[in-house]
Amino acid sequence: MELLIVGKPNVGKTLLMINFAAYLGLRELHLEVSEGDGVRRSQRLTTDRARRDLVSLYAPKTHRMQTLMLDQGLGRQRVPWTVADTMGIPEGIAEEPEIRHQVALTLERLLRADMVLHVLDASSVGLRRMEAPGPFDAALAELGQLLKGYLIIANKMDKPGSHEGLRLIKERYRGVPVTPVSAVTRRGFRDMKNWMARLMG
Amino acid sequence: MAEVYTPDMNPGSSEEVFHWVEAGRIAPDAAVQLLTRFQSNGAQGATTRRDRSDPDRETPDLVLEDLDRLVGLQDIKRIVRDIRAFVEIQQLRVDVGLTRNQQTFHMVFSGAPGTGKTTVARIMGRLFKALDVLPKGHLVEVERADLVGEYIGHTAQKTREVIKRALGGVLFVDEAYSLARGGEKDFGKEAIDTLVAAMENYRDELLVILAGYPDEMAWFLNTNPGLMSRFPIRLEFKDYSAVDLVHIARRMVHDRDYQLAGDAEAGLLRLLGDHEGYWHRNAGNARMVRNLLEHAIRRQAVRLSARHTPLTRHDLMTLTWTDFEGGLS
Ligand SMILES: Nc1nc2c(ncn2[C@@H]2O[C@H](COP(=O)(O)OP(=O)(O)O)[C@@H](O)[C@H]2O)c(=O)[nH]1
Ligand SMILES: [Mg+2]
Repeated sequence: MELLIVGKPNVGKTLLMINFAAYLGLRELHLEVSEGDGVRRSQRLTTDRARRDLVSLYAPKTHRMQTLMLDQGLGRQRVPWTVADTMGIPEGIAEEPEIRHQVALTLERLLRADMVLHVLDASSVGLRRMEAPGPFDAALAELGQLLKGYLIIANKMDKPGSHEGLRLIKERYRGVPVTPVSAVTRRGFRDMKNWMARLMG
Repeated sequence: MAEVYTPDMNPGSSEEVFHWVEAGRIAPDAAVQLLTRFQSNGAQGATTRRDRSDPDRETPDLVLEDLDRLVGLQDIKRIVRDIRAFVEIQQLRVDVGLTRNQQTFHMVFSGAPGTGKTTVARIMGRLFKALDVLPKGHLVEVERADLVGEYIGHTAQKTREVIKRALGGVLFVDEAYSLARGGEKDFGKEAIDTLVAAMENYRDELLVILAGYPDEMAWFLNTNPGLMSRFPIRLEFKDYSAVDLVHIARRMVHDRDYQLAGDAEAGLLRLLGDHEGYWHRNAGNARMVRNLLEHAIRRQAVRLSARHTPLTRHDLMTLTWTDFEGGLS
């Protein structure tokens, strides 16, 4: 079972993965980072350390796919599963080949994943910011309808403007399931977990 | 699926879409839109099924209908039909216990850009899938830069990556002669060797098409005699005649919901006839027609918006010769 987290840069994908893992009771994360050419580096770190190293203001942005390995599923079957945190997808054609490679890789994984969380920053809807929902998100919401398990996460619900943002998101992607979440306060994590458990059977 | 002859945005598979993203040809949002198409066609997941009873599989006749819709290309259409007959007869022979004539279908397409090589290559992939010769039949289009690396060993690795992506379908190497341009020491040679080795190893899973300008391809094959026998099928894509090009223009215009005024057709015929042989070499011809059209569409908008009288549906649809005059300037 694979859960894939996708979205534009800076919408909170990495923090969502780490804090959700903590919410599930994990104290240590087992991450596999693909270094390209099929090489994978395995890394174990505490959730605190992960937050500091992977999402703080000084941390480098996620530029490679990193996969969190979990031994126990949420469904009745309790099968091992993985959560893949991906590089943020920028709008437009990226100049750097490495970014384009990551985008291609992410899209490929997207079609194979069992569950997809499409993360939006609800506090930046309509703003001229990199993380504001755009054409890529609109296209993905369409594709999402055809995927096995697809859910839009309206993240950063703790921030000002996010309620209006959520309303706009629901209006814009009518008919697509949207779950409001804050990766910081953990609001909405229970809904997310229930959704996953249902799909894991 | 009307735009069979404008191959640029008509991928054959999701693999191809991923490749275009990597190559910087399309932005993520466009890629996702294209992937949506495959997902809804159920074309995805049609991976290594060789099951002839698969209901949504294309028949050879359907594929050939698409081939017939292409403008011109008479010789090519005939050869493709011959190939189909050959494959089907071989299969029937096997069915009644006779030996199959081992045949390799690797091909060389010579012709200027814009003469339909990629479009035909894609149709070839679909045909071979319909005929059960290839499991997937998708097209992976590459050029020298996708195969050749920067240091020893890098090229073999890159080429193998590309081959992996093409397995089950068609590997289309555009401007293939450029692999031999650098001579013995050039990494292009390593790419050729890797390719040839893969053709041996994946005999039933890969069709390789080498494409490029006629003169360069002739030179390429002559300097690499080993390749001659490995690529037994040669298709020549002639430059379109002015009449063909106008025909192509008419279809492209139609697909975009426009029409050509009588003076525009006559003018185009003159323009394209005058330039026959002149821009074929570099500008590419079906592609040139498309560029001309796009300019004309823009000029028509300018012309109409300057008018003070009400605009009819007919006005909005019609491209006149004044929209084309001045070519691409
Ligand atoms: N207030 C608030 N900030 C968040 C939330 N989720 C993420 N962030 C912040 O947004 C920034 C980008 O987060 P990150 O996880 O690196 O985003 P990614 O690029 O999508 O992986 C960081 O500064 C996070 O602390 C949230 O729910 N609320
Ligand atoms: Mg990240």
